Amino acid sequence: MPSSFAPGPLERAQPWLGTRVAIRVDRWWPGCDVQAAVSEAFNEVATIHHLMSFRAADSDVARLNRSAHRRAVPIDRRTMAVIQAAQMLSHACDGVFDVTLAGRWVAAGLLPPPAGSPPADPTASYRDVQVEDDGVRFLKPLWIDLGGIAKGFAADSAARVLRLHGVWEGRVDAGGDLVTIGPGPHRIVLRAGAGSPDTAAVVEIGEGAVATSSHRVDVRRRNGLAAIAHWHGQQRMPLSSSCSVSVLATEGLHADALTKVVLASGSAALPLLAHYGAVAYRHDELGGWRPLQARA
Amino acid sequence: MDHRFFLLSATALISVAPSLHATTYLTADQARELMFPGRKFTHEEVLLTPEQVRAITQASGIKPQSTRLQLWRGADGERFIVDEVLGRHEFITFALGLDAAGAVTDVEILQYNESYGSEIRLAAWRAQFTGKHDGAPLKLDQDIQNISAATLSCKHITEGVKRLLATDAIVLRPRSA
Repeated sequence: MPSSFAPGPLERAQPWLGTRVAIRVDRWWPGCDVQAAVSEAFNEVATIHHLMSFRAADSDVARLNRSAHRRAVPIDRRTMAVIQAAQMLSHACDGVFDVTLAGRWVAAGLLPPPAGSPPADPTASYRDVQVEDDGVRFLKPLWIDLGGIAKGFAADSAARVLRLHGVWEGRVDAGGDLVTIGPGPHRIVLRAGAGSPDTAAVVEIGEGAVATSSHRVDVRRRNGLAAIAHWHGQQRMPLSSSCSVSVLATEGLHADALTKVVLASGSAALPLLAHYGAVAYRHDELGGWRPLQARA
Repeated sequence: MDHRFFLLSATALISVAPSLHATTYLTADQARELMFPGRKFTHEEVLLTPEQVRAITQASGIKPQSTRLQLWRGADGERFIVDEVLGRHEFITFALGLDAAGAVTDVEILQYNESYGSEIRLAAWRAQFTGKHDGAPLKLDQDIQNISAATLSCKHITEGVKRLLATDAIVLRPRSA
């Protein structure tokens, strides 16, 4: 059993990926420089932010959106890992989750148009994203946005850095994408986006990940479309009903992305969740928090 | 995925997890030491004149919420600023580190409070219990500190940093030159 010498846990937070990323360290092996470990973990999150930003002109994502329809664009191994995971998931759910919806989001005023990129082909989908040995190529001009999966990946990556530095128990919270370190049990409150329900749901997990996404159709509308960008990848339309979804999985990347699939397809996502060893809970105004179950 | 799931009444949750909506991460001194280890700093409170407020607003597009600014100057011209941003859903105290040339070295969040609509009322309700435990925290305090909720925006911090960079260029940097 490792021991910690410093008094009490350490927690820090920085603004990255458009959200508050909080890192908490509770226990660590002797000799671990906790502050250095946390700083290093934040550096990793910052790198992922810079690589995968849709807005920054020099990110991997921006370079892909500008040029990948002409040639394979070499990218960082981390961006490659996220795109590969996104592609596998898109194929597994037949495009319900699709990182190529960014063109629709720009058209709906949810994202700024990427500078210097050709207009996105409205017929393009994840099937037009090709991962090659020397980079990623698009078969049509299209725009990808990794916002639906990158926060989970960043939490995984930060947790990996912390473990490498000797952190034994703690957590990384990238704006609701939570990755836990150590056997716990870690108790996590699931919070729906709207209102204050009479009951709160709590899950207890060991080492793993919990991600929550909320879709509210009544929040800010622009151009007639919900400004919170949860869309059905197949239908290329924003979702119509309000609810929150939490997914528990072994990796934050999968938990993050799977919340979007469950938001869009409900219990039809159960086989996919089983494939990833994940489980989901769903909250709506009528039923409160409930496990996602097959329709009777 | 092995796990347990249970429901608590919101009132029970609030009484066992009083810090659910407010988190203090670092003190200003701790953040400064992290950003500039071992360096000596001098604190000063800067009062912005109406002209400076106008100039900052014009340069950054964001109006300073306060005319007072907490500034620490390092021996080599580094600057460390602690400021607050009030968003629609959050109240954040943050620290900004600048090198002598005025480039951002670090941003750390010092305190984060969420204030979602009805939760403000719940916070007021919760305040009734403050002090009634005679300083003895409930054991579960330590157990429920993790929350998974939909992404909270930090765009107000981004705006705050932009405003402080304008403040630095207009008010702080000329004095150190």
